[in-house]
Amino acid sequence: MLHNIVNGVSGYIRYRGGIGHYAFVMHRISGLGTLTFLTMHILLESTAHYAPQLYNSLNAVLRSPAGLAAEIFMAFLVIFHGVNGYRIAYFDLFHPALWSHPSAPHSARAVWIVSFLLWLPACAIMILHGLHLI
Amino acid sequence: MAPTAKRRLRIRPGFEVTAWKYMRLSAILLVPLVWFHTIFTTLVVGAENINLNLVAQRWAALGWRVYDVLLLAFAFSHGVNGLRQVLFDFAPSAVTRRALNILLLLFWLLLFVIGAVGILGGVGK
Repeated sequence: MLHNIVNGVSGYIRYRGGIGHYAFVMHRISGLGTLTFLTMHILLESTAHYAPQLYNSLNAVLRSPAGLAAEIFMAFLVIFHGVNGYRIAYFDLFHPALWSHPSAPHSARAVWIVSFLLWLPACAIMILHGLHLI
Repeated sequence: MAPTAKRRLRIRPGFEVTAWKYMRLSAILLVPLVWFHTIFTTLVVGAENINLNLVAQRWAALGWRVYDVLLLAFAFSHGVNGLRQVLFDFAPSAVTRRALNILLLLFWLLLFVIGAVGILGGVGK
């Protein structure tokens, strides 16, 4: 059991697939992060039905600066997972040969660039909302 | 192009093939579903303006409840199946995989029911 885990993790770290490898690792990290967030989000939002008083106090915790920082960080994970997920879905479903094409690393680089370009304005708007400026 | 690229593997259809396809197909649906949800709530409405009244207002509309249940159904099943695929990389034995399948199915079912009852039941008193 333990050696399977060690093997798996060291494979993630040692494999030298370049930017495509980082995209793979980041897809897993962002996916696990999003699932963790989603699980808490389901439990928190459903208190609106099961325990409305609890909903208000939990919501107040999320509106703290730490809550805002966590949401901004989550936004990047969700954006990256979506953009890279579209690359994976497009390649796998329509052009599987593209995975072994020399231009494949460019698509991984494009995913990082597009993700940052989408994240920066989202970041700005979330901070403005958090500071009650809009 | 390498000649090996033309080699075709015969893949037996089954649950794992369906799960593989489901991840890609649900991804196509999830980007508009999730992004509209997050852009609307955090950028248009603003997270600091969200309170119980707003949730009650939204869930009063059938359309929003259907939207939220669809989001819950697709996002959470995509997420739990993704977790299953990650865990399978660390668990090659058939027995462990079977145990993981059962545990994750129960986890998915529990959270899905909690969420769906919450959305469809609306804001409590």
